[in-house]
Amino acid sequence: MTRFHNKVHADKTGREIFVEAALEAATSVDKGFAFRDAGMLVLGNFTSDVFEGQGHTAALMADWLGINPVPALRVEDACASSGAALNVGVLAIASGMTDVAIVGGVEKMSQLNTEGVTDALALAADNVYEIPVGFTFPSIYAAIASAYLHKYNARWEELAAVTIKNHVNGALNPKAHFQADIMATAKRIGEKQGRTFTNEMDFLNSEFNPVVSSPLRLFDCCPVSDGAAVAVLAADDVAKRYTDTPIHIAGIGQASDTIALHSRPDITTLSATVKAAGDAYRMAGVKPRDVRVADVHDCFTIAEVLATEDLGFFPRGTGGKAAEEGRTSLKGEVSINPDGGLKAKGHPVGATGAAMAYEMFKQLRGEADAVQVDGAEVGLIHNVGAAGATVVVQVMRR
Amino acid sequence: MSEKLTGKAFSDGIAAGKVTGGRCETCRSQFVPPRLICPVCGSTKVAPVEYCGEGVVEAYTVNKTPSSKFRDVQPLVVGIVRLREGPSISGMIVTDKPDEIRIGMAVKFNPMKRGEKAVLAFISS
Repeated sequence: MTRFHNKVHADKTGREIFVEAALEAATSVDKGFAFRDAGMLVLGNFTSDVFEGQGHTAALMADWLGINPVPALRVEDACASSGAALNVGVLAIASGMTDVAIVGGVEKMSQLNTEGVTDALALAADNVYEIPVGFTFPSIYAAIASAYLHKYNARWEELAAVTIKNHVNGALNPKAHFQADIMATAKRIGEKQGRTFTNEMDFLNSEFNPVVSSPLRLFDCCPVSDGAAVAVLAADDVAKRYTDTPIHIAGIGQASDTIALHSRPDITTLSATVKAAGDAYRMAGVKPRDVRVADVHDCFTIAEVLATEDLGFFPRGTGGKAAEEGRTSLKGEVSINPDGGLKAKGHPVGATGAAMAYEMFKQLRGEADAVQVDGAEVGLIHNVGAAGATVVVQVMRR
Repeated sequence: MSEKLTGKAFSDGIAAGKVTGGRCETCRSQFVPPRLICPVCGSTKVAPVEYCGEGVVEAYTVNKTPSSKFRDVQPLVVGIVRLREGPSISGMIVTDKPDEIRIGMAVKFNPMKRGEKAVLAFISS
């Protein structure tokens, strides 16, 4: 994968960012890989149509990888586009149509201003019944947070614990958008503004962490980033051509839910996560307690809290507390978002699911360097479209 | 297609001061906005209904970073209201005192005129 960032890719187009990720993927394959080995390309991309004025992006990427006439398919499931693309790649191989597939995701978002990005992301919500009453994407998750904090008598500080933990991890990840923990960030901002902060919460409670949509503040939200990630999928009996230590996709799941939040009986859970994870666990033959490391979709801090509950790692209403107690840190019982998550790593929406696969591949091969989780045998990745109208889960193992 | 089960019927209703939706004749579920297929049981025996417009706040947020279309609404409070009849709907909550809004608070439908259109909105009741 490329670095996720809002500036370093400024002069590149989406196709160039994708090619950069694909070249890294190909050159990292232990026994070598040529793009032309692939019988299919599946691309996750949310809305380059709006961001770049470019549609038909799967064929475009196949062209720029030099693999025409290989079939190329774009998958659009909002922020879960490349997680869904990964499942399509698995299905293509399982069907016997091809033995090798290139699966990836890309989004070039930074050329629009914040308002333009907000409007583009709103396309993933209900544009007839939610957006026209004043909702934006952050405010939809903020509404979820309001209901969650109320139902479980939880505190915003529990959400902030997710921010602090994910920035600690992001600081150790050379691909991350933000490579600074909250104290380093507080020190940098404090020096400019002539302020000192005694600890993370002192900073996160300050005016430098303004409310975006109550109760969510700026540091509860992931940044706007550009980036791409690419994975090479191969059938079990073909994988040894490429490596002696493949990582197996042991279980997959995908589920849908209502587009509009208001149509759900309970908005303090993403039922599509429960369904997709249940299917993936069953296919893989594992239980939540077997999972040592997971990349979950933390577009907002509340989303990570819900994910750790809906995936079965913690009981309902306790996900935030678990983060606060360090149970989801690199040394915790289940390490969540060792790469910094969307919060610190960044979230080029269409690339996120593929980037999760990249991180889990490294974790399970023991190649995750500074963020390596000890004993990572079984991992899970969890990619959410919008406010859970699409959820994709993969269980992976050594 | 029943003309009373369309998005246009719903938005015309909002402008006329009515919240409308559908009721499934098979499983008795009620939903808003109207649609042709019951989201609970899949039945197509759906009849249009009009709701009383009263309900309680189920979730809300003060949106400090609205899209350009809502910059003039200050404060902009949006939320989900569970109507007395059961279903929930997204709406604006019109208030000068956002700090006083609580989950569980009683509200009633009160459409907000914005140019040609009416926005689904509620006020404290």
